[in-house]
Amino acid sequence: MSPEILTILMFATLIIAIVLGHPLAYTLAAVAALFGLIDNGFNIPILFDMFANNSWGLMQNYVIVAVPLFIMMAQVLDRSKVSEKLFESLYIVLGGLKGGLGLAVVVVSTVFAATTGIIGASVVAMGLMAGPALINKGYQKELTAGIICASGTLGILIPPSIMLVVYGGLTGFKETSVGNLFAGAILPGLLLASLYFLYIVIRCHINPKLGPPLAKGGHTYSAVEKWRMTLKSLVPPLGLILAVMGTILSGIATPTEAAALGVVGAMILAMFNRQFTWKVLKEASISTYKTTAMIMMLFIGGKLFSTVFLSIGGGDVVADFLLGGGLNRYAVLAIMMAIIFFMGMFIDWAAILLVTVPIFTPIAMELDFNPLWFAMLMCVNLQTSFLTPPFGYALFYFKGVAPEGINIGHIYRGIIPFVGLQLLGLAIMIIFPEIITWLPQVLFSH
Amino acid sequence: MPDTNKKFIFALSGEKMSHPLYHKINHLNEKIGRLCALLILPMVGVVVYEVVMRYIFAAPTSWGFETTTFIYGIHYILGLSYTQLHNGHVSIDIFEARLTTRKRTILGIITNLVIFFPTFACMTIFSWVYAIDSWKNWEHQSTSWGPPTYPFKTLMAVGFTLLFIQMLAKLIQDFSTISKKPEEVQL
Repeated sequence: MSPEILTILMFATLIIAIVLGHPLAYTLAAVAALFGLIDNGFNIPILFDMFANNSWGLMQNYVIVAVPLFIMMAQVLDRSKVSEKLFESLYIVLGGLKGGLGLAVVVVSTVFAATTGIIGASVVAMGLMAGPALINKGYQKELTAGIICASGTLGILIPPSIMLVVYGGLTGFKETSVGNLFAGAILPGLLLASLYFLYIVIRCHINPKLGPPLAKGGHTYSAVEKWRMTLKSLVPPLGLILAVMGTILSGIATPTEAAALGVVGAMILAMFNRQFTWKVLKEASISTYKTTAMIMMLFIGGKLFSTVFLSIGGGDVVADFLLGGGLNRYAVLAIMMAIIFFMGMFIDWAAILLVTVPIFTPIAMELDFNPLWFAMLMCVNLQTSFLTPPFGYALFYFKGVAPEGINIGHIYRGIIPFVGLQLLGLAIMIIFPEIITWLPQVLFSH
Repeated sequence: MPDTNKKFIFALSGEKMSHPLYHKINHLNEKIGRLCALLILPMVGVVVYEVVMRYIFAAPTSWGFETTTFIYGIHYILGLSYTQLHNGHVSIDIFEARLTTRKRTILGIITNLVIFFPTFACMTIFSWVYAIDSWKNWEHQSTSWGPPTYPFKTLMAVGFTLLFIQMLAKLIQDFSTISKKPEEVQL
């Protein structure tokens, strides 16, 4: 069979198999096995020896060691009540503004995005903590859902981020090392947070009913008190951010080392808040275990799939298809981004990343795009996959903890403007690539 | 914690009359999972020790880097089955969610037999072959510390084996679900 037919068949089989609802990771491995056997003339020992060797290669990947460590850091931090304290003080500081509680959610989520690398925990924590607060104060359900889901997903983009670790561990290029990716993701993350912030301010000024300011009354706080409260609750997480990101960006520690130090830092914060017990540690370890094994199983399946896909010549087929028409390189970029966006409506980020990056990266190189810039566009797009209906994982996490009266319809309607903001942010990063490339150049040019 | 385990297994099966092998496999993977989840703690410990030795005492260890990688490898490879036990591997249920429990169970059996079993039977067998080759060659890491490689390749085979038998337990459970009359099946 020609590579073109094999490529089409391989994708078609994958799509059909995925829809049947079997776990994605096994499905990727099975499709890889089937087409690997077709390609090598049904030589089972050779193919599976290669598969065993690929799996062993993953067990030896020091970069990915940072994945369980960053997950553990997030799990411990999530149980340390640090974010509750910050939200309580911002509730008072920003609550009096139109849309102020929504802004408090964006700020808390952004700060915590910079301490955690996963999103499940942050969306659930914000949903439990801020969801009832906003609804009780008369915030529109759609807006509440949109704010919490969108801000909560910043955790996967703003470093430290396991998505960036997986990306760096997968490509193994110097340009897209985990350190470079971390540096490159800071400004895009802040840009998106600012877009959410502006959007809330503008909409709540036009129509204050969407996010009414808190009524004056009871105890009023002076400006000094407000500042003191905010600083007191901000110092612990900012200290942790500086310790983890500072050591990575200054080149003192590898991301893996910084992640381990971050776990210790999170444990210390939990100790200060009197939340550090053996039970907490055990629960955090078990949650970490499930998430890690889920991602690593996808890593195994994705690795086998892309190995076979590239060996049957699928990479060249896709490249010829995209490049052969002589399209403008930005048109090719738009097609690749559209493919990721569309896949993101249905599939989990890790599976998309592991399948598409090995195929798209050579095409981006061929088109002479900056690899770091391209990687970051992919990551922003993958972050959006948490939000895009029908299968945005952040929406489901939020649905699981949402206050009564919020149904999936409210959440879907509420998230659409924020998906729009994500695309706007993506467009801004395409037009002004410096947003991504400037900081890594400043930090790592020496 | 034998009590919590027992409770958990009953809660998971939802009935007391399933196949004994199903309980045995669940119990085994639950125990291994709860134990190996704690490997994250020595992982943190070794990395932090290495950082402290290197930056504060300027005396890097020869073993820190590889020990970390080995612990990480064992940690996740033995966790694949635990995550399967708790249905933690992501899947897309666009289609599945619309089916009745019985039809969903039948679909589960079919996808399991067609997708999972042939692939992971080979995966398990050939990861054992891979491990045995390593023992035969008395393989060691090609680094200055040079620890043996074969125990870790063996653990990779063990990890795939545990995952395989966990899916076997699911298959047994699915068969016992559909072998009952439809009205007995809990929705």
